[in-house]
Amino acid sequence: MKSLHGKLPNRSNLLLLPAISFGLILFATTCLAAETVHHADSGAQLKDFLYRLFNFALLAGILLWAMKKANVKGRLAGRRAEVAKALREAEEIKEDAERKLAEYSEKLEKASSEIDEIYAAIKLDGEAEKNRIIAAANQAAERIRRQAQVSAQQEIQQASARLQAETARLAVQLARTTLEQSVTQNDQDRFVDEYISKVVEG
Amino acid sequence: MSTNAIARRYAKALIQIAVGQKSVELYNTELAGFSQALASSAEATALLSDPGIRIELKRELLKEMISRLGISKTISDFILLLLDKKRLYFLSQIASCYRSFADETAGILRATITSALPLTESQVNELRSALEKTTGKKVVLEVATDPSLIGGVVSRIGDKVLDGSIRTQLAKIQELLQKG
Repeated sequence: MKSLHGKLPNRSNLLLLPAISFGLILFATTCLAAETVHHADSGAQLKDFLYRLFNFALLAGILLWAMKKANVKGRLAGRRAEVAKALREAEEIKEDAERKLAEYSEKLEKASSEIDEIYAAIKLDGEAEKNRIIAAANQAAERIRRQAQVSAQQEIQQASARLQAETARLAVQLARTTLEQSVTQNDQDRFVDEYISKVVEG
Repeated sequence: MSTNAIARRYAKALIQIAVGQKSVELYNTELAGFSQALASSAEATALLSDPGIRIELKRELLKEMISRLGISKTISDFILLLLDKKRLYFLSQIASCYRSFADETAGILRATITSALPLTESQVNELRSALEKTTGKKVVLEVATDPSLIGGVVSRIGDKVLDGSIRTQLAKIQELLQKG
């Protein structure tokens, strides 16, 4: 904004410009007059100077008239007002932008905070879920291990029972074969006697 | 009413009559003989069970059989009564029940003795004496032989079985070995 202020012409500067010009002309005229005295030139030179002075005055008058006609002062004032308005609007826009920036920053900060909370919650839930899955898997593994143990034990018991039954069957079959071949009439008589004794004893 | 109950009811009535006439064993013999004769004659059985044949003809047939077997009047009347009541097909069951009642009345127990090897006469007598001593009743024995017993004797009195066979002992040993 300072650079903009620097570029705009000041009101006093505008009035100073013709005055300085006029001063320079007077100075030049004086110098020429002095030179005229020293050299004692003719009146022709003075006449030329007066013409020049007259031209300058005419030019300055036209210039002042044109400036007035063009309402330079008013235009400059209007321009300055516009610029000031633009500056105010720019300032307002800037403030609005800064306010929105602050608002968005706050929102972003809040969102970031919420995201952090959500992330932490998700992480916590994930951890809990992981622990739950691990616990369930451990329980299932333990259950399977026990079932396997029970099944193995049952298989062993069944195999043992089958083996025992088969052993008993073979032993009895062997005994039966032996007895069928070896039981004599005397044995039968002894069996009958023992049977009669048992019947009598009740 | 089941067929067995009907047969028992007829047998009970007949045994009461027989006791009164002191002819329990006679009627038992006649009833069993006639039942066996009827069962052995397929032609007579078919004729008596044919509903298309008149009852008079069946009666004549039965009278002819009764006459040939020389059956007493009481049993003869009883058989004809069964014919009239259309319950002649219960005769074998009635005879069986009557025998049980007759044995019970006479204090007789019928037993079956099965032996792995043939028994001697003295062994049969000893067995009969032992069973009579145990039961306190007169025992009528039916002796049979079964080599599958391997050795020993099995007696059966009604529903009661006294098993002294080697075969059963081996089965018990096998069961014990299997149980460990």
